[in-house]
Amino acid sequence: MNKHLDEDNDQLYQKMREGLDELDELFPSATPDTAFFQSIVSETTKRTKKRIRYELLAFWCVALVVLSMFYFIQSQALIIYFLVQGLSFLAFVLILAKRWVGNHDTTP
Amino acid sequence: MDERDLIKQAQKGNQQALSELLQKHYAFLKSYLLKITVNPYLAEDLTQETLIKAIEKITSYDGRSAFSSWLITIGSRLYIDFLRKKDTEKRWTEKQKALSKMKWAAGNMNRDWPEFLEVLLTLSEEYRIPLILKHYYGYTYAEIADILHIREGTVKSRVHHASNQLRKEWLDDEQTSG
Repeated sequence: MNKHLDEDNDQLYQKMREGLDELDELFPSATPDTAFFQSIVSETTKRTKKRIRYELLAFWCVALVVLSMFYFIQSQALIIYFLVQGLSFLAFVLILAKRWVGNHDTTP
Repeated sequence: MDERDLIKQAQKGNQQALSELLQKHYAFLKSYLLKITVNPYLAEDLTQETLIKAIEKITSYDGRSAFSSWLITIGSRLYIDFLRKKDTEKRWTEKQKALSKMKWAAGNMNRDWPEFLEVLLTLSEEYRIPLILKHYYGYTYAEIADILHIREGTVKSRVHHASNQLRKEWLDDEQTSG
């Protein structure tokens, strides 16, 4: 019984392999030329670096806000506090705006 | 440069090495995605996405598995994510559309459409992918568990269930076609 089932399964897997090989022949996976890979690697690396830069900047902005709050609490220097808050907020808005423009850029 | 050197160089930021590495595995990756999706158009998109992900994550490749297995791990997970985002009805409609396009393309090339693929397509992806990984690519249950990020026991039961289901559908199909 088990032997019969094993034989059945072997036949089944063989059929599956043949079907998938035929699919491969119908739609062959031709490899693009080297320029394609160089371009995708270069574009992706650029995009990743840009994203990391933005994230780092956003991190520093948040850190500045937190630090300035501490500074304010410690020294009650209102002018410095608002200056830092204002600059951080401005930088944050600029980052968001730049990201938005980047996401809606339709040029290839 | 052999593959290990290419990987080391790519992880150090050598773009040429990374391009070469991806070019070397491109056909294997795309062919794998074609087999699990049975949809050349979707396989094309997923291949691109996999390449991008691999470029972003190249430093996290730890060499525990072959580079090709690492790529198909990324590709499989992207496909599973893609399926999760679509509802069942939409998935079914897209599958049927792709199937008719493929049959039409096969007809245009004067080739017969491999009917067994339709039997294979009756299996849902969660069963079809482990079955293909096991019985087409010859991966072990542990490796499949790693690729699909599920437990080894789950892989075994899915492969077993998929085999039974496939056999049943195949026999039904044989009886129907006479």
